[in-house]
Amino acid sequence: MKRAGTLTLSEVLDDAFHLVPQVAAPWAGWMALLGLPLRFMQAHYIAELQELGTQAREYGIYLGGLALAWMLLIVPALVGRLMFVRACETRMSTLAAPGFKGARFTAAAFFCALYTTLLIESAFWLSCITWVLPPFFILLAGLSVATASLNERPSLTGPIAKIFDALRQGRIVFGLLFVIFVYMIYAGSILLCEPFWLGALSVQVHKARARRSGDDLRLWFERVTSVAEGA
Amino acid sequence: MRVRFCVHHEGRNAHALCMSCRQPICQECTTEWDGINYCVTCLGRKRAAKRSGRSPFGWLALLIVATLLFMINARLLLHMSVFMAEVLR
Repeated sequence: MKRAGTLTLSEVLDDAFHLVPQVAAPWAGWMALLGLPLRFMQAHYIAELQELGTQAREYGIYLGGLALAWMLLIVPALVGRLMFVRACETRMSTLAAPGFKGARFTAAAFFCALYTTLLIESAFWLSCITWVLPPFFILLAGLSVATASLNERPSLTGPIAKIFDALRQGRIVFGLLFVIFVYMIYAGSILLCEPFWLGALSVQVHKARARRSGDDLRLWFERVTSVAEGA
Repeated sequence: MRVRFCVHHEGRNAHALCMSCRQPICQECTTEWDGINYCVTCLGRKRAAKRSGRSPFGWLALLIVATLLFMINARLLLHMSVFMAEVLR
């Protein structure tokens, strides 16, 4: 028998595919726009690496400069992602279309997300030789953005604990990773999949937390009273 | 239905459940914050967490670690990408 209050993968996906079109304009656009410089830099870096071929080691200073630019461009991309996730959260908790105020995030959320993103990026590069672990770090990177707004104060351990707390529902998050991976193969573009990926993760984090805090009951009550008032 | 009593006031009927600790609380102990009921203890804990956010040490540690990670990541990206390119070649 299904335990009351347990989330399911289909429920999260269903909510995410309803939620994302509601916040897509303009927040998915902002996310894509702010993420574009990073994508261009990544493409340029890989192209340069291919062109240099076996001589790449001799161009360490040049490639190092590009690598540093890649890292710095993570900042605007992260701002776009946080705005989008915050807009998703506002939409879920208030049921209203999020304006600029609804997509605003705190400095603590931003710096905690930046710290975890960079930490996960290090782990990603170190794990590349294994060929198996990188998808796990892609999942963690998504969760670091989805859990960012839960960080009310700057901390080095708090943001990591929140990511692992979200990972407790491993079956759902790994299921989401698989579904979005399949979707990405069909769509053929990271930019098209990113809103659904982050939207689904923020639904998962938000719903799991709402069930623990009782916020889901408050929303349900608001929905019921608004229907009753409209009738 | 079983009558529940406030955990802080013996014999007083419970008015709500604290959504943080899940304990029954009476009307006097209940504070509604952002549409959710909390007891005095949990609300105090939430306020303390907000206040400790003003400490500069947390910010300083986060900024130093983030700056270090920027530098480390750029070096890591360079070495690992060159290494991977050589392996794939």
